[in-house]
Amino acid sequence: MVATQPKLSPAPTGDGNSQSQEAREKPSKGFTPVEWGVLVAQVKAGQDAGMEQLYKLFSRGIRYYLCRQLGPQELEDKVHDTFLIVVNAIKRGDLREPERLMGFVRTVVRRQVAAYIEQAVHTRREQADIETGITVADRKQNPEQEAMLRQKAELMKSALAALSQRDRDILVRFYLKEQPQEQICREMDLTETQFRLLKSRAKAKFGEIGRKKLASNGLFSVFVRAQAG
Amino acid sequence: MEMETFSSPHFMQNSYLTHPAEEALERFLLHQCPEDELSVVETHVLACDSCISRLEALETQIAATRIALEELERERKVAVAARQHRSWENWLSIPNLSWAGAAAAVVAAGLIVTPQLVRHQQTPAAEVNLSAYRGLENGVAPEGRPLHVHFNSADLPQGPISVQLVNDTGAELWKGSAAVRQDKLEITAPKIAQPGHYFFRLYAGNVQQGELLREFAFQVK
Repeated sequence: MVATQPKLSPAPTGDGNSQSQEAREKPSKGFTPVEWGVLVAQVKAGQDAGMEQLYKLFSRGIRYYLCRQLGPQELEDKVHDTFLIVVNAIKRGDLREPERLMGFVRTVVRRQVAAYIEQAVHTRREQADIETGITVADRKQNPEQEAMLRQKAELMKSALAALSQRDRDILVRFYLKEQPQEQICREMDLTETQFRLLKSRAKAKFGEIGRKKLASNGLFSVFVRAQAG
Repeated sequence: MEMETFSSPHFMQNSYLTHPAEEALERFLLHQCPEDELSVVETHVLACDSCISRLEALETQIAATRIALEELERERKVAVAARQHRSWENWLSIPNLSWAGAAAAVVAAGLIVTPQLVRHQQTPAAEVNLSAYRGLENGVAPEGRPLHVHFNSADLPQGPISVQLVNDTGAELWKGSAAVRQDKLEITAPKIAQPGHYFFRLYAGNVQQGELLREFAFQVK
């Protein structure tokens, strides 16, 4: 008997973030119903179709998770190794209930992360690098991404400057000091709704300023073209 | 739509398929998810390209917000210092200076008569915030000053923790113990004389036998 997943609920609505809105408008591209039983059976039988679908389903998520936990060094190798572990475990029959495949993959990935950290600690403890100087991976983004981030930060700065100092203090506590929402609400006498509204206000202001900037850049390029013409 | 608390395995399985709300994703990125929410969000994200795109966009937004807030805070402190300096300048008028001069003379006379103890001032500790967070610069600490370090301790078990400081070859420079209380972990470490790359490691139990919980990279300049 094949188990089929129920219809997926739509992604949540309610904020002004255009990028997450775009993601929400394409739920079928991001997350499609999968017949877990058929998929697991295909992988167990070593069929290419099953392996391909499994890879398509999980590779990006595994890559994201491993990069977030371990950094970008040797990422492709780690993704590949993790994928192989999942496939071999399925072939061995370690996954007894196909509909639990997602949770199973999560368990495997978490164990891999722990294993990589332990290996890194052991290596640093037991071995000394012959090369001096470069021993820590540079986790900075590439120059284009840095420039984009810088641009976004400038826009965000304009948006935040429009808020009151108290509102900025709340955001400083949340984003810089990483205090949990409950602590901030308790110490600054806020309700959860007020806290959420403040963040929405900041994001909405950011979006508004971004749109104005785009509009003014568009007008400028029109004037330049008119003059050149 | 916010994530709900879970009870039955069947509900749990269906929850893996539901796209998390933006606030749940934000908590995930800031390591503030409660255990049950973390399980569901992590499992869902492993198999959902659209939510990974949402996470990546949110990461950039959070990074931009942090940079903006840091700059605004820095400008605010500079403005406050400038205002205090101006208030000192305004105070430096001739009548005020005359009174100040007279008061200084009295104090000096008192100092000559009454010997003062010389206080040995220690170099104040530098405040360092460390977070094991992808995409952001590692923390930076100043050379030659004791360090008062604040660790991102979300998801760490409450209770005693061993802390180890190692250099980029893994050699131990210092170790100590601390405790995670209300998701906060702070330690005071001795000054580091040499610039370079260093790591703080957090262990449950002692350093030799305890489980490595988290590692933080930082630079001394």
